[in-house]
Amino acid sequence: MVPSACWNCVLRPRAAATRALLPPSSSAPRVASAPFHSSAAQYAQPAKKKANTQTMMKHRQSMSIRRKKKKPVDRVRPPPVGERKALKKRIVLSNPNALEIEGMADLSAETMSNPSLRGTIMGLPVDKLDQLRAVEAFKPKQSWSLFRRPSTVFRRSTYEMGRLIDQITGDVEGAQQGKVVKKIVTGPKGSGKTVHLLQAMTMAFIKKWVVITVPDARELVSGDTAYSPIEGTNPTQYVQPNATSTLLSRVVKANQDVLAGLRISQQHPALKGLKPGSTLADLAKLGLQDAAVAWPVFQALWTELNATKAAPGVKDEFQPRPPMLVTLDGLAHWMGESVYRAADYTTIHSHDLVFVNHFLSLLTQGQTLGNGGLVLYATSTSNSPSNYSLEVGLDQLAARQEGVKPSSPEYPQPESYSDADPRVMDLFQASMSKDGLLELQTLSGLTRDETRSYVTYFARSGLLREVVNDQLVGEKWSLSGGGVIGELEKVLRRPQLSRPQVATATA
Amino acid sequence: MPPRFNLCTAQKVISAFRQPPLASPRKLAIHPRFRAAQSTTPLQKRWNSSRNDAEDLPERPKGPSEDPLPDVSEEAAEIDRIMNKEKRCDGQPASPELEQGTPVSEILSRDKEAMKHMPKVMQDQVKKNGGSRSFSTSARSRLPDVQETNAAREDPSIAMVASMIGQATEQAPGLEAERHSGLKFDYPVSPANTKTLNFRKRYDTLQEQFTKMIMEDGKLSRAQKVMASILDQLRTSPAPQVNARRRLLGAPPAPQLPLDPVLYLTLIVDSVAPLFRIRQQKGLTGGGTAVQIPHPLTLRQRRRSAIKWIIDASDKRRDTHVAQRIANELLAVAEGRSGVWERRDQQHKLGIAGRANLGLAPRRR
Amino acid sequence: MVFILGVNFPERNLLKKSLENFFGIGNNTSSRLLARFHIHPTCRVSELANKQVLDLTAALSDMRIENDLRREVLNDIKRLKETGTYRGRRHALGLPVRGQRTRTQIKTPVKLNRMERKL
Repeated sequence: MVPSACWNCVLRPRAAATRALLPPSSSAPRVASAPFHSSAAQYAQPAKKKANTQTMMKHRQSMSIRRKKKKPVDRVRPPPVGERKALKKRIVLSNPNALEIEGMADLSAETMSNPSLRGTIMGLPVDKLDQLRAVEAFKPKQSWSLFRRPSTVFRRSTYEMGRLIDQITGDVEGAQQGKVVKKIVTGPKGSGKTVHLLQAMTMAFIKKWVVITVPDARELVSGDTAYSPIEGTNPTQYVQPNATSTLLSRVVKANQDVLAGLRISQQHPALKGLKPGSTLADLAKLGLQDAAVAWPVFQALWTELNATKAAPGVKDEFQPRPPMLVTLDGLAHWMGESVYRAADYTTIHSHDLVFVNHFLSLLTQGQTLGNGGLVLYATSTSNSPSNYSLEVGLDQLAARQEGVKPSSPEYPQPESYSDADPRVMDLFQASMSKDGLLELQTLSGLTRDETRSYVTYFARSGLLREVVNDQLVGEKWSLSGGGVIGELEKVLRRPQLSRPQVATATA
Repeated sequence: MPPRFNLCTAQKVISAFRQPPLASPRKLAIHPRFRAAQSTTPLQKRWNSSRNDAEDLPERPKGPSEDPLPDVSEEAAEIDRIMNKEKRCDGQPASPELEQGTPVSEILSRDKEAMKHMPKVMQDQVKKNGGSRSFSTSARSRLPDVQETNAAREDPSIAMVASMIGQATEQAPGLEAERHSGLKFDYPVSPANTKTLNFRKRYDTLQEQFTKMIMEDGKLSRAQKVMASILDQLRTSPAPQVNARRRLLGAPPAPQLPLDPVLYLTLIVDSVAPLFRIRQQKGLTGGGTAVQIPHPLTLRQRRRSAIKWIIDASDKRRDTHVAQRIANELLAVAEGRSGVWERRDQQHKLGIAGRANLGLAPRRR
Repeated sequence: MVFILGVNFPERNLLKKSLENFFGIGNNTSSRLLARFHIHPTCRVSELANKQVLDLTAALSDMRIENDLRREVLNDIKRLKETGTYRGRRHALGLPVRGQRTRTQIKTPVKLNRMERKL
C-alpha cells in the first residue's frame, strides 16, 4: 500500500519538533559534518548534558574580575576648535611691565650700516612691525614678550648684512649694485639664524625691497596642504595650490605699498581675469581669491618682479622693479623625500614639488633675480630632520670657500654606501659650479662686547637685578657656550640665585 | 710649670671671641633683594654657614622665663597686626587694645587708699624706689657661667689663649691692608664654609617646592615647564590691584612685582600661608569627641599648605592649560579675590578657638 | 556632512580615519586610496572637492568591503566547518584556530569563535 503522503512530508514535522525540543546545541552541524570522524561524536557527548554545558561555558569564559572603571572627573568642556593652536602660535611683542629703555637706537636707513653702532641693541622700527608680522618673521618660541618692544642685537653679521643691502640697492658705491647674493645661513642651536633673517627682512622693508618669505619649510613637505599633479610633466611635478595662495597673501600684505605702485609690463595670456594696466597687487590678489590659479599667478608675479624691460605689446611705461629679498627657514626639510605620495604610492621627492623646486633653483648659478637682491636660506636646529646629504653639501660649500679644489683629496665627498641623495648633491654641484656664487654664512656666539650690551639690556629692562660688571658678563658668556645668544637669553631670564659668591672686598 | 694648651679650653675661649670678620663685606655684596629674602625666609640659610654668626650666637643663652611668650591679648594683637594692619586705620579694633588700658601704677599713684592695700611686692618696689628687685623673675640656670668663670680662674692657659687671639685680631686689619697693597685685583676671600660650596641649586627654594607640588606622575621636567610658563605669565600680566584688606606681606609697590616673578610668587604664597594646622585629637575630654588643637607649622609646612590650597583652587578654573589656571589663581590671590584667603582665615579662626584646648594636649617632646 | 558611499561623515573628521570606518579598510588601504587620488594625508572631510568625493565613492564601490567582505569571511569559516576540518572544529568550539596554546590567553577566540560566527 502506498501512503497518501510522501515520506518527506511525514518526516518533516517530526524533525522540526525534535529540533525545537533540543536546546540549540552544537550537535546539529556536527551531524551535518562528514561522518567518517568518530571524534566529533565523542566530544559531543558530554556537551549534550545541560549542566555540563553550563560549567564548560563558564570555564571558557573570561575569568577576570570586571572592575568598574572610575568615571573621569567632569572636567571643563574642551576648548573651542582652534583655540589651542591659536594659543600655541600667538606672538606677543610687548611686555608692558618691562621698563622702557631711554635712548635706544632704532634700525633705520641711517643706522643699518653704521659701524659705530656695532654691538649695541637696536629696536625694530615700529612702523615695520605689521609687515614683519605679515611675513611671519617672529616665531612663538622667541622671547619677544619679555621686553617693552622688540629689539635685536646689532651684531657684526647684522652690520655686514646692512652694508650689503645698501650696496645692492645702490645707495653706497660698490660693485655689488643690482647683483644677487645667495647665502645659506647655518650655526649651532640658538645662534640667531632666524633673527638674522628677521633683521634682513627689516632692512629690506626699510629699503623698500620686495620681501618674499617661506617662514617654515616643513609645511610644504609634511603633507599638510593639498597637492595635485601637473599634467604632461615627466617626471610628474606637483603643485600645491593652497600653500601658494598663502604665500601670495603674505607677499601682498607685506609689500602692499611697493606692489600697488608697480604696473604690469608683460603679457599673461594664461590669466584671463587680468585687465591690462592693473597693478602687481591686483595680480597677486587674483591668486588669493582662487587657489586653483594661485600657481600661475605666482609665476606671473615672479616674471613681473624680475622683469628688466617691458614686453613688446605693453603700452605702459616700464617702472624699474626693486631688488628682492627671498628668505627660507628650515632648509633641511627640503632635502629629502616628502610625505606626499604619488598615485602608485611611491613617495614624492621634495624637489618634484614645483613650489620647492622654484625656490631651490634660486640657489643655482647665474642672475636668478632679475633686479638683484638677496637670497637667504637658513637651516634650523630646533626642528630639522637629520639629513646626511645636506651635511655633505654644506661641508663642500665650506671647503669651496676655503679654496679647496673639488679635485683635491681633502674635498668632502659622501661616504661610499652612505645613500647620499643624488638630487641634493646635484643641487649643490650646480650652485657651486661657477666661482662659488653661493656662500655659506656660519653664525656663532656673540663677542664679549655684544654680550655686555645684551646683559645690560636685560638689566635696564628690569629683568636682571645685578650689577653688570666684567665678572658677570664673563660668567654669562661662558655659561651660554661662548655667547650663543639663545642660551644667553635662557641663562639671563632664569631668576638669579644668591650664590655662595666670593666677596668682592674693595681694598 | 709652663701653661699647657688644652684644646677644650681653647674652644671655649674662641667661642667667646668669635667674630665673623667676613660678615660685613659679604653682607654688603649681597643684593638688597636677597637680603630681604634672607630676613623673611630663614629656612634658606644653610646650616654651618657662618654668615650670620653674630645673630646666631647671642652673648649668653637665654633662660626659659627670660623671654616669655606674650600674654593672650598681646599675642592676639600681634597676630592681628601682622595679618591685617589696615583694620587699625578704619578705627575698627579687631583685637584687644593694648594702649588704651590704664597701667596699675597710674591708678595707684592717684589713689592713696589703694596704695596701702597693694601687694607686698609692689610695696617693696615703692620703698626701694626703682632699685633692684629683691626677687628674681628669671629662672635662668647660671650653671654654665659659673663653670666658665671657675675654669677661667683655675686654668691659666685659657687666659693666655685669649690674649693671643686678642692680639691676632688686633693685628688683622693691618695684615689685610698689607696683603692688598700689591694686588691688582681683590684678594680672593675663601668662602667660609667649603662644605656647602658644592650645594648647587638651580632654582629658588620656594620655586622648587611649588614645582614639585605641581608635578604629576613623577614628571618633573614637565612640571618645570609649567613653572616656567607660570613665571612668564606673572611677569607679563599687569601689576596687581592691591586689595587694602588683603595685601601681600612685606611687598614692594605693586608695579615692581611683575619684574621679579620669583619674589612675586614667594610673597603670594607666604601671604596666604597659615600659621598652624588644626589637629583633631580624640579622647582628650573623654566620650570620644575629637578636640581641635592648633599645631604650629614650620615655614616649609606653611608654604606647602598654601601651595596646596592654591593648586586645589586652580583646578576649579576653566582655563585650558595648567599653567594658565595656576597663574590666574596666583594673580587672584595677589589681588585678594581668591577663596584661598577665606580658607586661611577659617583655619586661623578655628585655631584661635581651639587654643583653649592646648592645655588638654599631652606634652610632647 | 559629506556622503561617501552612503555614509555621512562629519566635516571636521580626518578623511583617512573616516575611510577606516568601513569594514575592510585599514591604515594601508586608506592611505593608498588617498595617494591614488592625490589627497594629502591630513585632509579633512570638508576639504574634499566634489569630484574627489565621487572618485572615492566609485573606488570604494568597486572594492570588496562591508557586507560583501563579511559574507566572504563567514563563508570561508562555514566551508571549513562543513568539510569537517580541524580548523573548522576549532572555530566551532571557540578555541584558537592556528595552533596557539590554550592553557592561557585565549580570550579573543573565546569571545569571537562561535557556532554562529558574527562579524
